[in-house]
Amino acid sequence: MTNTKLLLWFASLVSSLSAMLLTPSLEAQITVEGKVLDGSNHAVGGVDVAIYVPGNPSPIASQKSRPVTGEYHFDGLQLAGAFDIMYTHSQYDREIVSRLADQDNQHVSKVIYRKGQPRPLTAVHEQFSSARRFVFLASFLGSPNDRATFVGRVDEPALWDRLGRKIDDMTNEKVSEQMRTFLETEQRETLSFRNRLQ
Amino acid sequence: MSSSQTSSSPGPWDVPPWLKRIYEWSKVLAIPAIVGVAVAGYFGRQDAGVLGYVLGAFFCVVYFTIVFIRRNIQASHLAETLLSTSGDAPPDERARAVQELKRSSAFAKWVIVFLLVVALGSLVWLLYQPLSYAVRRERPKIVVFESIKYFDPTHDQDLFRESPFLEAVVAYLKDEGQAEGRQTGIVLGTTKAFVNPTPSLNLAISVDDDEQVVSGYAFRLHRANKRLSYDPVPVIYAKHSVAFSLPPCDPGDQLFFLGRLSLIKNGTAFPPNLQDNFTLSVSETH
Repeated sequence: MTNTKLLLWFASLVSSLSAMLLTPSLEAQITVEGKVLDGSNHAVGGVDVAIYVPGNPSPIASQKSRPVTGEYHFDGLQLAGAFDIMYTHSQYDREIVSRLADQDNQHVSKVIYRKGQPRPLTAVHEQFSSARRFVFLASFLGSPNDRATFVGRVDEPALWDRLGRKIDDMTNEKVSEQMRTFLETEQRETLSFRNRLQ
Repeated sequence: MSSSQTSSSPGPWDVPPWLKRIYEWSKVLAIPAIVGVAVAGYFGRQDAGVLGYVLGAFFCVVYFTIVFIRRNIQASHLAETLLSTSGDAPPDERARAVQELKRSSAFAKWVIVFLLVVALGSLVWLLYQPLSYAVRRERPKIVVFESIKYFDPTHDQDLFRESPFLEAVVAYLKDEGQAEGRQTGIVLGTTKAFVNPTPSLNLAISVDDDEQVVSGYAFRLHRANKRLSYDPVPVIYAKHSVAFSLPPCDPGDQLFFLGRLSLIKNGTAFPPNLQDNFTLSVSETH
């Protein structure tokens, strides 16, 4: 009887170990690195660079970009899905780069703009996209507590007021009528998303 | 017949007329008094005090109007009964009907006076604030700091106790400053309260020294019903200044600045007097 039990225990141990060894790991370890630059292509240090996987209220990893070089470097990241990088700094508008592949190393260098600083039209459009992505990430969290944690950590209420300025004041480029109509539609839709944060 | 006799020679056990009138009025006023106490207890501690006053006034008006209409219906009913009776009605019934009509008429006058006073009061109350704002509203020519100083963790704990979220903002600004690799100091500044209502305006904080960088957040301090609220103000950065787009402000509102002064060159000393170091300028919003 005792021998049978011992044999069964040994058999289950062997099968568990072989299962662990033979099953390939689904979460590869990757490196994410890059640089943060301002609108004049100068490196920006002190920017909070945070890796978010949708569904998590807190970042998987975060660090500040280095002084002088503006570089950041995450090693050995194990991510359970495509991820976003969020760039936050008190002087600059928050930006989000979304849906990066979790199975390959990434080199992402990002241009960020000072709050209220006129910027190219593509950057204005990206500002709206980032705001909407932020609302999406918050909405993706199931529990109200998680949403409150996420929003409380990175939302800046005044950002939404800046997003409501005239398109011509937001850009340093000439705006065609077609582009103005397009961006104003984007702006209206983006601002309407704000209520979903509450 | 017996009632006229009783009224002409009141007995020792008859209730005096003035006490009867108090009793009648107490019946009328009891309900609004009870409702008023309950409502005041609730709305008195809320920001919705104004809503409480409006609802209270509305209730009073409706209540007195109902009381008046009810009395009017009773008097009309009596008069109708009297007039529809064939032949002469008994004198005491006629006297009662006439008295009821007189009382109804007198009450109607009081109700009209009351309603006129309420309507006039509501109108004045309704127009006072907008008119006062329209007349007194102006863009201040200069805004100065009432106080501006470096953050001191030991002396500024009261600030954190009153508004705990500021502790997180200070920690964030400190971390960011350290990560930038510069010497940084956290600055707390409060402007003098606005004397008049203001339109939307831009308030820029600038430093004259090229070796200094100023950044941070600003809040409009607004007091309502003995509560202080911090309303975040949008920020716009320029090279040596940071501008805040203030919404229309009430008298007594202030701008609270929580920022970071960074020195580009390490080893240089922080300016000792921040009042002289920072310049505040006012401009219109675009």
